[in-house]
Amino acid sequence: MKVETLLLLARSRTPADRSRTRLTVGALGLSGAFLLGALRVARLGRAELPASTYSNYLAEPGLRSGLAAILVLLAAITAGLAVQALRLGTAARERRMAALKLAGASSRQVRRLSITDAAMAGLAGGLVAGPLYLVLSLFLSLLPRMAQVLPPAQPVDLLTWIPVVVTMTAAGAVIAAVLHRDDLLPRAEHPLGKTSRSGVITGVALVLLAVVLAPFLGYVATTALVVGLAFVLYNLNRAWIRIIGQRLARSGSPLNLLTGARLVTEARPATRMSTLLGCCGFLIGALANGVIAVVVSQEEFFDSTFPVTGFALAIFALLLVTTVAMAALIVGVADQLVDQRRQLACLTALGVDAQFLRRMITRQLSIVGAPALAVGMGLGMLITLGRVVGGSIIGDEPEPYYGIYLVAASAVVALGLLLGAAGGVLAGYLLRNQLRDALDPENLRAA
Amino acid sequence: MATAELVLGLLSAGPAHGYDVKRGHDSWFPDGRPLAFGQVYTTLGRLERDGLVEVVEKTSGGGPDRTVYALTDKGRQHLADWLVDPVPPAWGSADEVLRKLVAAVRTGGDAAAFLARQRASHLRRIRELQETPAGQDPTSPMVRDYIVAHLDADLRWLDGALDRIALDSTALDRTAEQENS
Amino acid sequence: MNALELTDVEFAYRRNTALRGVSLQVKAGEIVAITGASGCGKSTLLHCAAGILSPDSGSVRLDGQDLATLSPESRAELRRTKIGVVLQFGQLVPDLPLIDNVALPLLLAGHQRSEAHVHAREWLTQVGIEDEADAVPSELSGGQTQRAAIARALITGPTVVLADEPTGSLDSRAGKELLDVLIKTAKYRGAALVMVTHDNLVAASANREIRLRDGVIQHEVAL
Repeated sequence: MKVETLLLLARSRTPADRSRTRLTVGALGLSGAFLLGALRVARLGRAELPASTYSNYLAEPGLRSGLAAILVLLAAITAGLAVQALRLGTAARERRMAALKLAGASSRQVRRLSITDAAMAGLAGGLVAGPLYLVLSLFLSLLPRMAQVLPPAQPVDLLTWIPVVVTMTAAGAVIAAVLHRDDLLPRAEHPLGKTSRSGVITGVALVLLAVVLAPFLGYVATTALVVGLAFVLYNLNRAWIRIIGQRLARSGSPLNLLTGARLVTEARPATRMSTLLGCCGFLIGALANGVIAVVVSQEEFFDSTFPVTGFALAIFALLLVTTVAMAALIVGVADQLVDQRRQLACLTALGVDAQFLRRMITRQLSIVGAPALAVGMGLGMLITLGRVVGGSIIGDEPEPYYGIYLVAASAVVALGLLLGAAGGVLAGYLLRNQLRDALDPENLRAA
Repeated sequence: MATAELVLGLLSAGPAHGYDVKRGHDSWFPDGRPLAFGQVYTTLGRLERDGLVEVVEKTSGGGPDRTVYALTDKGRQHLADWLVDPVPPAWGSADEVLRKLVAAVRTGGDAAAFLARQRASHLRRIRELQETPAGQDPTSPMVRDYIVAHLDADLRWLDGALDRIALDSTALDRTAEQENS
Repeated sequence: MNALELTDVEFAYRRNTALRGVSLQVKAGEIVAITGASGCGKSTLLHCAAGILSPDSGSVRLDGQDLATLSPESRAELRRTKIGVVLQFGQLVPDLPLIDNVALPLLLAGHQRSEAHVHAREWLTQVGIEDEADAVPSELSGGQTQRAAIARALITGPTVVLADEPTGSLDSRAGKELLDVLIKTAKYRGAALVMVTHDNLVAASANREIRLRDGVIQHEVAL
């Protein structure tokens, strides 16, 4: 296969694939920008810097490493959105792959095509990351000193940009390689595998190890922690989503029955979504914990701009994380709707209207999203930000564990449930047009 | 018309009166037209003349009803030959196919093999018709379409008959297995 | 040597057995119709012959080559060069123009695009849709997409063309025209043609009918 052919076939030109590529490029671009920021912060070294020119968050080495860790985590979360984006239109893409194989493409060629496609999106994302980073850096430089959490951009950033472009390209390729499925004929259903006990154990071990090693490894440990958490959540979520789905499917109410059936057949995307939400929730919980820790130990600060800026940054990060999670969730559901519009349109004949379908989608999303978010937030609060990033505010002494964390944990769990339910309602509202389109009898015409 | 061969088929189970032959025929084709007595006796007479059947019992002084006919070896052979031959697919040949099929099933012949040959014969005819273009006059293409459509309908019926026979034979196998065990 | 030879092929889906020991031989240039009721295993048989499915037991030989002994790469290569596949629908890559769709096997084999296009255009002319070279599949009628599929199946000069209900999505007139194109081009290439069909008019154009029932050959007759 010539490179020309590879590029011709890797780039799919269907509208659905274009939006998928755009979303992937955006997500990886944002991820790369965060990575550039983290590298810029890391370049400041380990020394104490003058607080007169730098924000306190940058001036103190302990806080600096925490900041870098948060930037790396944000990069990982936005890369998670890229994973979700690359999974879009799976059914349509699998049909395309099957068509290519019928024309004589070997499994290796097809695999190479999907990896090339994602790597190109990663490359574009890496290239977008530079300007995005510059905009972020310029924007932050306009803020007061305390909020300037990124040092001004330097020409050296151009050099660090190169590895980031390479990393993003590789990230795209790796995601595609992991997601690639080698089925010649498109399968109608994707039965969900059994919960892997070894997956849970590996995950728990990673989390424990990361917490213990966080003070020594910094954000390397933090990343390991989030990966471990994702492992645990993914494997546990499979189990409870299936149980809830089956229980609902036995219910007498048609709404619950259909919701349960959807959960069982759509268990794979639901599991992915709840894992992402759980990880987001975890970060939200950890950041909220950081806020509480600052409030509790407030007497140590003379300047109130420090904690205020901290809160503001935390809120900004929370908003970003939540938006990413919400986007992943809505994008995923919209994709399902497009994919199943024929089956859904058949429901019209049974008297199902858009209102009913919206209630069904809302319920489906809330049932999966709310517990995942709540559990993630609770865990983040309980494990505490200090232990996640390994940066201790109080120098060499171990960070105190305040009893109020337990109270706060139950509060954030309640908040998580509420947010999850609200997210379901919001998604139902945002998807109202897609729901109406999905029920359009036009979809019943032969393809 | 294959009434003669049908009569041979009806006698293949054992010797019978003309009246039994008529009754047997009507039960083989319950939805068809009943066989007239006159036709039964003229057919039997002709078959006897050709040596395909013979009179095995004749009550003295009796009318025709007292005469019992039986198949000769020649008659049995004639019947077997007839059952092997597919019907030349032509206009209105379906009745003949049906007669053969019923006779084959009722007399324990290889109905599946007959149906397979008949399918092949019909398919061949369709191909011949499709290979030679119809005449240019206004009616020839319509006549051609009519024949092809009817052959297609016959083929679909043959398909169904094949499935039914396969189904019956598997059912028979199963009952035999149950009886053996 | 037979162009295609299946020996005692068995295949089961997760719960259902689709083929219970099917053997058949197809000679070069022969036209074979595989018929039978829905669910009798005829499409599975075709997919096994095409190397899309691997039989649970038994062997599939193409030009004397046993598919099971080949690496996945050489099996794909063999599929590309020796087998042409025409399905009922949904076999063209939706976002590629017709000319690229037809040229696809050559492109995958590493030919230059310009060179592959020359051949593709020839084949589009063979099947009578040279004017649609730049259209994408969604802009075409069912008959036109099937013609493109035939052109693509034949462009590499295969030994065997496997067609699964090639006229299934068409009305009788368009189906007849397509069948004529398929047979004409297969003969032109000297390829054997194996068609799975429940349409008697399609089966009538074969040299041989093989009828399947419940995953076994019920009968096989020369036509």
